Formats: sequence, C-alpha cells, structure tokens
Amino acid sequence: MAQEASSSTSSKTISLKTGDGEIFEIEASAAKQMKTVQRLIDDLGDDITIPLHNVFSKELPKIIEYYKKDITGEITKDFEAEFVKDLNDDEVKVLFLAANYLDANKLFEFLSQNIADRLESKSVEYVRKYFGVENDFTPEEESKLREERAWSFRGIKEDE
Amino acid sequence: MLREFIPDELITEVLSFLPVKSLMRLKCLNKSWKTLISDPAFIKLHLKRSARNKHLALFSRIQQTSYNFRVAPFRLHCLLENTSGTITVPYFPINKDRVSLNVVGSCNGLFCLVGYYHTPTYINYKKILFYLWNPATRTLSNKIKFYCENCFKWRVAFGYDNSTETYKIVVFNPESYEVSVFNFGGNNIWKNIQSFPVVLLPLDRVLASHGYRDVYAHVNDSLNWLVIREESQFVIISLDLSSETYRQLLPPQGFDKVSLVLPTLAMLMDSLCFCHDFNGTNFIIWQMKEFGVQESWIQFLKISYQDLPIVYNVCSRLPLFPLCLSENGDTLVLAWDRGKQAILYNTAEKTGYTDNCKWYGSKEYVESLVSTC
Repeated sequence: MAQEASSSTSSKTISLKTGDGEIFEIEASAAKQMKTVQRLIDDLGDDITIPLHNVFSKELPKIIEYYKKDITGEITKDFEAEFVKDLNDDEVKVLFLAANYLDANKLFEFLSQNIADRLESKSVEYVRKYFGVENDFTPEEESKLREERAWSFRGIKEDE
Repeated sequence: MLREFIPDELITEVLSFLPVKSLMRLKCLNKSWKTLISDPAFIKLHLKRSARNKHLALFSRIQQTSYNFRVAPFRLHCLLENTSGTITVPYFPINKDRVSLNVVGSCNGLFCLVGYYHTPTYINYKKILFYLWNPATRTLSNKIKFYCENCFKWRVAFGYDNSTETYKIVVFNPESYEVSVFNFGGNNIWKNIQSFPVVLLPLDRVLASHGYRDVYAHVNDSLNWLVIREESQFVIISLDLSSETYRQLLPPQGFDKVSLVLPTLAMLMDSLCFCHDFNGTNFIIWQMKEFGVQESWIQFLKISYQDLPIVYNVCSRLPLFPLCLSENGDTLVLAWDRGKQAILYNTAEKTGYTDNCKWYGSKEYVESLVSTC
C-alpha cells in the first residue's frame, strides 16, 4: 500500500456494532490487527457499521483500548499488568473468547498467558469448572494418578 | 462461575503456557487432558513456548561423597533480579546404581547424565552408564550401557537431531578415534559411525587435566569440538547429527595468538561462538553468524577482566565459559572455575556480579515435558 494511502486510512475510523446493539469507534489501523474485523471490512466496505454478533459492549471497549495502545507501540509489561489487574477470572475468559472470535492474535496470546498464570496454582477441580469439563476418571483411577505425581500437588489449595 | 463452552484448540493454547508442574497435576483432570498433555505434538508446542523463558541449571552435590546431586533450575530473569540472598535449592535425587553421575549436556529439557562403572568382581570390565533425565517431570530413563576398555578416557556428548527428531549420545575415543552413537528412542543400540578425523587432541587432555571434561558446543543439529592440529593450529571439528559426517571449520581470522589460557567453543543465540583470552587483559567472544561460513565470524563481545567481579589470573589457565545470553542481549552468564561460579555480566553497562554459591556445574536449560521413555 502506498504511503499516502496508509496515512489517510490511519486517521479513518471504523464503526463496530456489538451483539447487544451498541456502537463503538476504532481507528482503521487498529481494526486491521483484528483479522475478523478486517475481513468484514473487506467484504462490506469501511463506510458501513460492522456487525460483531459475538462480542458485547462489556468487552469491546477493553479490546479497543488494547489495540489503541498497540498501534502507537506503547504496549509494555506495565501496561499489560495494569490491563488485567482488575479483571476477575471470568472476565478474562470472556475477553479471551472475544479475542479469539476477532482473530486478534496479539491480545489472544497475551490473554492465554494471563489465564495460564491465573490457573498455575489452582486446584484441578477449579480448572475443571473454569473450562466446563467433566471428570471421567473413576475415583480409584483418579486417586492412583494423584498418588503417582503427589509432588506436583504440594502447595496447592485443594478446595479452591 | 460462568459456564461458557471453550473449544479444545483454545484450551490447548492456554495449557501450552503453563509450567510443567501444573501440567503434571492437570493430567488428573480427565482422560482427554491426560492424553493431550502426553501428546508429542502438544509437548512440541509447549517446548516452543517454554524456550522463550530461558533457565540456567546449576548443579551441586548434597555432600562431597554423595552419589546424589541436586539441580536448581533458575529462570534467568529471576537470577538477574535476585542479586543477593541465598537461592533455595530443590532436591532432585538420582540414586540409581550407586554410580557417581555427571551432566553431559542439556537439550529441550532433558539432561544426559553419565557415570563410569567399575564392577567389583571383574576389575578390567568396564562400562559407561547414561541416563536421560527430565527434572521438570521428574522422570528418568532406563539406563543405557556402553561397554568399553579404559572407559574414563572416552569423551561423551549429547545432542538433538531435528531431522529425525531423535536425541543422540555420542562417545568417542581420543586415542583410537572410534566414534559410536546411540539414538534414543530409536532401535536403542550403539552404532559405530565414521571415525573422528585424525587430528591431535592435546587440547582435550590439557582441559581434562584442569578438570574440564567433555567440552563441546551443540549448535543446531551439530556437535562441535575444538582441536589442535600440527603447527599449533586450532580447528573446529563439526559432527552433523543427521548425516553423521564431519566437517572442519576454522576459527576467526583475527585469532592467531596462542595464549596461556585455552580458547573454547560455546553456543549463544543458536550460533557457534569461539571464545579466547586476549593479551591477558580481555575475554573476546566471536560469533559465527552463518554456520559453516568462514567469513561470517564477527567479534561479538570484548570483556575486560577488570569489569568482572572475580580475580582473574590468566596463569591459572582456567577458561571462562559463556553459558547463555538473556533474550534482550543485556546479560551474559559465564561459568568460571570449572562452573563453580556463575558470573552475570551486563553487556550494556559493562559490569559483572556473581552469586557466591558453590556450584560444580551449570548449563543452559529449558523446562519441558519431553518424555524419557
């Protein structure tokens, strides 16, 4: 793309409409980082409001905030720490799924790492509930497996 | 809690960022997770993520006469931040066969351990024992035996061949130049390969006399040894692990002075490095930017001994060994005094400091789930 063309699109904003009907603005260069959005822009044109059925007004502003920082090259470890500081595990999960839907790779990877950090010392039961997966081991099978790797359970709070 | 369905591929993504200890625990979560975490493709993905967090493994013996030793893997950036205070050492016992073990090398989270065995009944009958050990998953392979005469003389090395995805143990006899290779996970037998190119190896003996054994550099799919030819010329013998053939490389052209301190090879940032003393005042590291290309040697770092927090006496002839470089290139970790001390050198500020723990060896290490069976 020619330098002139990119400087004119960088100041252009795109309108995004969430699944619950709210509209948010985002700079075109930031929208480019979200491949799903870019594909919709390519199909529908950049003048109309882009519908995002699976993303809601709770998450989208946060995602836009992240990419606003990204296009100015200001994403630092401190910014990322601050970004997730006040989010609980469920809120991070929702953002993570939204980032996946939007094909926003950088945010998606960052949130994957953050969820992993949150789950690192959690109990097996907590992780089951978090991902909504069922246990299909019999009690005997499970206790045998736990015994085999008892060392990996040290320091973990089981009831959490 | 929000019961939102998360597809398997996304779960895999998150899991690939978890440390090994958590993943070992999560094998108890359900059957498909147990299968996933043991799956070679997942192990590969996890290794890729893990490789971004460099660790340094430091070894120390429990007691002088003990057959057990412990390994403390440190996240490199933690070692950099933790400049004072003692480092607690987790204890990983290795207790098999009552043989004194040493570390040959480390690759993808596996350590290759070696022990020299002398049976009490058959005095002349000797063998070398190897184990592959993953301290993160706490698993040890079955012992791998190599029978030979005068087994203490044999040199050992450990590497990984990307083309066949196998771990290889290489042993060679510096007198007869015989070389044998064991493909771990292959047909599990020792295979003789082409002999080591006939060159003199007094270098090796000098190093051995100072307590350094088995000094080699594992760069990509090759194992590299520094040898000395007639007319005191240094040459690098490089064994390609996939073709199992040798080539000879030359050190950088700027290097021609033989100093009291022997030069060594190292692996930094996936490149072969040649390191030597200069004038008794500096330590120079050259990097071969493009492996095998003579013209691609560049001088990477020049460290003044005065900037190091040790009293460096070239007359002691002990070389410094670069172990690894931090991601951002700011910090270089060097081993000194047979690996007993780790020195952290800041390349930007040109200052160094050391932790004062007594270790007997150190190697670059990456945490992984790689299997030992």
